[in-house]
Amino acid sequence: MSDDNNIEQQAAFSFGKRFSTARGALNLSREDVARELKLGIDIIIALEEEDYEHLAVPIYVTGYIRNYARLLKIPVEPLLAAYNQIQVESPTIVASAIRKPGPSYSRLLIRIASVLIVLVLFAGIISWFQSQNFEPSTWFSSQDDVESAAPELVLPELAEPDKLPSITEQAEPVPELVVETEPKADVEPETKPKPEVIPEPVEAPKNEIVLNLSSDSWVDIQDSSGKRLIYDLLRAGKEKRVIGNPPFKVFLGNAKGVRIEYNGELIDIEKHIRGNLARFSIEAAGE
Amino acid sequence: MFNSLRGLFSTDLSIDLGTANTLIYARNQGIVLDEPSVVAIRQDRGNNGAKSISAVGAEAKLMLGRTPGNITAIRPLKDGVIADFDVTEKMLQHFIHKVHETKFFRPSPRVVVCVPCGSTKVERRAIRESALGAGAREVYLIDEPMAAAIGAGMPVGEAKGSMVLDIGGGTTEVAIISLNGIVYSDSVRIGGDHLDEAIISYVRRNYGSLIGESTAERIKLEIGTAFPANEVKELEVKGRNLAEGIPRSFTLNNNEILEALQEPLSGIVSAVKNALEQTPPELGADVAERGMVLTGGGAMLTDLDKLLSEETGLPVIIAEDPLTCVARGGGTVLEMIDEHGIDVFDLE
Repeated sequence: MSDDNNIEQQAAFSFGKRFSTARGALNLSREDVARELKLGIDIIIALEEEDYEHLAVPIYVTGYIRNYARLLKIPVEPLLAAYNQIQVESPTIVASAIRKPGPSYSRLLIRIASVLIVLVLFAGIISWFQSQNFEPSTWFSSQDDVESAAPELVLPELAEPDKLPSITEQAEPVPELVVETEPKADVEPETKPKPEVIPEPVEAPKNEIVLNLSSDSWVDIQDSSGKRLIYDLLRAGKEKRVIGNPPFKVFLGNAKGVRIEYNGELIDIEKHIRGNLARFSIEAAGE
Repeated sequence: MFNSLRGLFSTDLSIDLGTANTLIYARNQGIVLDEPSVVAIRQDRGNNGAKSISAVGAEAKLMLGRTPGNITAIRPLKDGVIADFDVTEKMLQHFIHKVHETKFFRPSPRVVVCVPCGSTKVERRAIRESALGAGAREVYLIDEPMAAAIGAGMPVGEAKGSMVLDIGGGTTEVAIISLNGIVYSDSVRIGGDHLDEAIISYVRRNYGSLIGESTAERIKLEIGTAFPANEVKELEVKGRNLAEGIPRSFTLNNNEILEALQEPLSGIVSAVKNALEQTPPELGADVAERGMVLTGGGAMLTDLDKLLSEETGLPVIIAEDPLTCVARGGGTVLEMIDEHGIDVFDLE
């Protein structure tokens, strides 16, 4: 609160009057001050009367205020604060004789175009990564999609028959096509209980490898077709499940931090560990 | 093409590649780096052991004069110009990366480097090559006094003479500027380093003791003065006694340091007087009316403005934040280039 008051006091402070008062107290004339500061008397008068039209750009005025305050042995900060309150025209940096008309927008255009190109490239890279199915989780979901898609095809027959006529009535020109496509969307909520009806793939997955990590490790697992099921740095505390066709080629970067199970059976990897690495294969019947 | 693409993700920089300190001003951000121009190099064992950078900047400065056999702390710039090309390049590379450390792409900025106006074409080329080698996409060189004047806020575009005196670590630059051009400029190889050397030799001569560069700099900053003062300031200093060979402490005062600095200070005063002699009369009258502006670290030497004012009879003004004027001026030039084109200032 007191700081605010100080700032207000400084804003209302007249540095010109402060100078003339302090000069009078020291019995100095304007001529004496001009001689000491090596300045013209008109500048001293302009400073004391705060006549900004006759004062130079801020860098010089600030310097004059400092030198004058030093001569009169008065604190300079309040004087500078008072001067800084006034909006003074900024110095001319570029001469009007040299200045060229009209700014160039070419750089801005190039910048926008390049940002767009980068965004397109970035989107392309993301879609490519997604198409590669690097994550086993995405691989699983695609399997589930195939499995769940089959019952959906049967749904028009299982669905409540009273709904069908209304739909076919709405789409008279191609009734057969509509019967196959439209009910999918309408009957979708009823397909949700289906995974409970066909739970076998989730409860007892075949040829499933489960990895439990106690510390970070690089993991590379390939199935019989050479497809990489995992090729990633897995973090400590993570559990990872993959399904594929045996035999599997397994490479672990930090084997001591990995616990590996195949179809629910723990695999002893101790004998494969060289240094910190382990490279081995998992056959159909186990190790 | 790829370079310019990377450039879009880099911040344009203005670099004050000084003998004592390197300052970097990033566009729209202000001063982002202020580090001593010192590099510590480690050499692996063996005659042809590989050399690697051990530390750069403030960390390396702490090692100056305190290194074991396999580490050398060096200042790659001397008298405002490059003394060791490879090390300067590495240092610049380090600083540019430090400024862009949050960025994903390798930086490729446009860079304005401020060079002493007295530097030769070979020295300027070395600075340009060094900046390009450090990853800059485009390099513009600007004379230090012009950058200092712009950074200080002087009206360099007016048809009026503006005089600036930039006292750096290795050189002192004096220039008279009007209508965005340098009418007269001169560079003398006297700077903060020479003031330190003068203190070292004074102490050796009068106290028979040897002090290091860092101690001499501390003496200059704490009790150094350029004009006789009524108040006496003292400082206790430790140095190696040359006769006994063991460290001894002794006390120096500001009047002794004034005596020690006489020679380099008279060199600076001569350069200023010479500039005023060479200035066209119209511009000289403008300077006499408004005064000269001091920038650079040397401007912070106590009462240097008083000395110059007494010697020349002109008003002398110390710029606000004199250490960063050159780097800030270079940054303003970068903005002006975009607005008005490269021909506005005399850039190379």
